[in-house]
Amino acid sequence: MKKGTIAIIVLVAVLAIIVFPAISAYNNLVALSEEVETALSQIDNQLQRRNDLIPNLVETVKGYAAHEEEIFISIADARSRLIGAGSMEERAAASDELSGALSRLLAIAESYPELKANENFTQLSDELAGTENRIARARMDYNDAARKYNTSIRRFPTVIIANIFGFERYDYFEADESARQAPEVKF
Amino acid sequence: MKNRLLKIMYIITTVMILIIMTSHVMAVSSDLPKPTSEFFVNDFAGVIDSEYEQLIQNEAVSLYKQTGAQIVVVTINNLDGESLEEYANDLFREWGIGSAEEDNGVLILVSVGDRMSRIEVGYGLEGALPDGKTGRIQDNYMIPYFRDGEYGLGIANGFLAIVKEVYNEYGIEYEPAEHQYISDYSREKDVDTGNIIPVMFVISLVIIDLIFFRGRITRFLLLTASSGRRSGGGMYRGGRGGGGFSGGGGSSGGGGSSRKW
Repeated sequence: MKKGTIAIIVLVAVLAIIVFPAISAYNNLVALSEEVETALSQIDNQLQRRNDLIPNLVETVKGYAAHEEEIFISIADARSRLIGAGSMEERAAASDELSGALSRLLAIAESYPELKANENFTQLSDELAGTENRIARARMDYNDAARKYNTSIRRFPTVIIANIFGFERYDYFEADESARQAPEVKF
Repeated sequence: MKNRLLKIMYIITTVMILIIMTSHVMAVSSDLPKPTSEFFVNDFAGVIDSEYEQLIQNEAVSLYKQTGAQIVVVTINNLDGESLEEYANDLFREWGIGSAEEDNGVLILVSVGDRMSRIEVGYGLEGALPDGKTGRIQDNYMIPYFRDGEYGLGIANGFLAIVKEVYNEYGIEYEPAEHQYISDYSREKDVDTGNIIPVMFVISLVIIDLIFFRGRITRFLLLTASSGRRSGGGMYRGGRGGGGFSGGGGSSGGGGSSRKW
């Protein structure tokens, strides 16, 4: 009888101290990684949205400033680099490069008053600025979610669960400092 | 034997609880202002006349009651070097503008000192208010007034333009009274001569009013127009002081547009 009581107490203790926290830690990790995935798909959506906007914008600008070829070429280059980018870091760098090229495209409107006054151009630049802002937001959200998850899988005692079930760390959507330098402009 | 076991269990449990508690402590600090009790109008910069403030509040409440959408106006003195877009988005999310299910919120943010404005749109209203449209609303309804220092008028004007779009999205007919719907600057610019005369007439009356009566008559007309068309809306009229509205947990992904003037 006495032994039986002890056995029950030990069983309850084991459940309380190990099994239940383990289950909740596991579920927590699953929820966190789901958040990271959602945030990542949000980045993809916005990158795609920007990609869809570019042809229209470039066409509109070409209508007024056809000889600004250098900028059109650098946009096309950055676009194809983004498509070809593999790792998260490469994608972030290519995306930054494209952002830079597009902001130069918008800036040339300053030298073409007719382009600047064009309503279609105003609308497209608003859409582009809005999308760039969404990308920035989505990146921040993704990096926050990834940081939360990455911290979680390294923290005791969750680290044990993470190791047992093979939860891996997510890369941040950030460009390497060296890659962030403006691309060479050839004339 | 039993006692010692209990003691060990007690210690282990305490340690576990401590570990769990410390790992969940997250510092939540923010320098963002808290919404006023009216919630829909937050004139922190003090640039909106009380008449316009009342008009915006009443319209916002009535829109909210009918559609659940929240349009919030915020003016601040300056951004202290923060980016307008980030500030707007942080504020939007912190206040939870719009409902959590529909994300049907809009934030109109004006930083008077920086001469910048932004319309930030929640996910759920991006269809009704695409970025280009929010830019046009600012260009045509707001910025021209801001340039003249007429913040209240510009904000009320842009606000009403957004209200109209949101009602439209929900399939509700919204016909603002003639004088209440102030004007579309761009339409004034290129109206044909047939329309120019009455428009000029009204403008000159307003100017005379501004010079001789400090705009009292115009304000009076706007005010009567705004309170006149709201029949049966008296219930919510007591917004001032006892508003008690708050955000519904809505979020925005950074949609909208920004302007400088």
